[in-house]
Amino acid sequence: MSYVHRTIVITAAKAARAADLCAQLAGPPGSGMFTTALNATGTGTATHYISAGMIEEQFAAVLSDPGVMQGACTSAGISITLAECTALLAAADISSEPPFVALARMGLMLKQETI
Amino acid sequence: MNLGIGLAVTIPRRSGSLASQVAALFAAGMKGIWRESSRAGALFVENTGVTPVSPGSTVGLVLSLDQGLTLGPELIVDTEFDNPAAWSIGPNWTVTGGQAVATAATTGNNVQIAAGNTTIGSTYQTSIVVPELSSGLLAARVGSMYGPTITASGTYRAYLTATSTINTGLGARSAGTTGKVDSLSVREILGNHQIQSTSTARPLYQVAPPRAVFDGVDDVLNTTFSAALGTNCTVGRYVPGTGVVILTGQNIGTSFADTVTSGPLLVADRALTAGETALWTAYLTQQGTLP
Repeated sequence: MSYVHRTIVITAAKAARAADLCAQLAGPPGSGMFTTALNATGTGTATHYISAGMIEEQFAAVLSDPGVMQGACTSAGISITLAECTALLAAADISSEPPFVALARMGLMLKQETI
Repeated sequence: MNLGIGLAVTIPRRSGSLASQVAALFAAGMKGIWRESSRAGALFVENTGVTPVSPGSTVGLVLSLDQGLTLGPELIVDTEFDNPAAWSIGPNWTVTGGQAVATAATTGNNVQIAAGNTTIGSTYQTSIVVPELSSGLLAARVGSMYGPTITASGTYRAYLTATSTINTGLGARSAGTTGKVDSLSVREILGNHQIQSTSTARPLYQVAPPRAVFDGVDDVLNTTFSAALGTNCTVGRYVPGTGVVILTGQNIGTSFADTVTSGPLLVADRALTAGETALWTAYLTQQGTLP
């Protein structure tokens, strides 16, 4: 099994749906994604969420093209339109950059948690 | 409190003796975590413990040495499939002639032990022998968690963390599964292990020195304890570039989330004596500076 590194940042509005799809498509390795909140200042409401790390190569392919994503979803029994796949990927910034490089490029930072 | 202990430690010449002394602390009743990052067979890429780590791979499972990797009792009464009455046999499965036999079984068709006997959060070593798999996919199942899919005949080992007290055995993982299983063993591997099932949340394994590298964003290795460790715990690490760091007076409940890049890790449910602190420092230094 081959793995590749991906940093995935997605808008808060799409994070829950993206997390659900990742869990359904990838099983346990894809569960629990997009729980780290981001915004421009580090305080206040989250505008984005991030997951960064190694994912299976075939899962990276799913995240690279709306048509491939829809096909994978259909094969997994998930009902989703091509338009929704396109919208999800448009709402995501997916790169092979280290997470803090991607965050700097996007002008985002980790939202500090209240202790 | 960060004692920030540096590297000016005399390492005893017999390297094995330090590990033995640490083991003695746990054997004497100290509870916690013991990660030895260089230990072969204790760190795995996936949380299911199939692939040993290699440089650049993820770390999904660390088998803690706190209880010596001791295996608990066998949970499968009929490991060789000699007694069909010992099993709850699902559709398209039979138990006959010393084998569990699937014939055009599909996902959800299982052969399981009748009674539940797993503990949620505990990790179990599964060993399964598949002499024949002509089509489809198989997997062992522990406490409702399926193991890695088996695609061909062979002998397979995995480590599965139970998510329920029931549903232990094996099952088909795709339609049209036809094959035979000679034996199945499920035994708890004792210890407070570090686990991460989410692929992107796993740290990376690096060497020189051997260590788990966390990305500071979402990487975390989680440990669940059967009871809270308490308010006077000690956490020791060797942090590359810093050295030994020992935190005292730590409050650790029923879980511990490790997010700090380090080589070896020791967690104890109590304060250490001066002698024990010296031992930890020597051991962490030894392990943290391996080539």
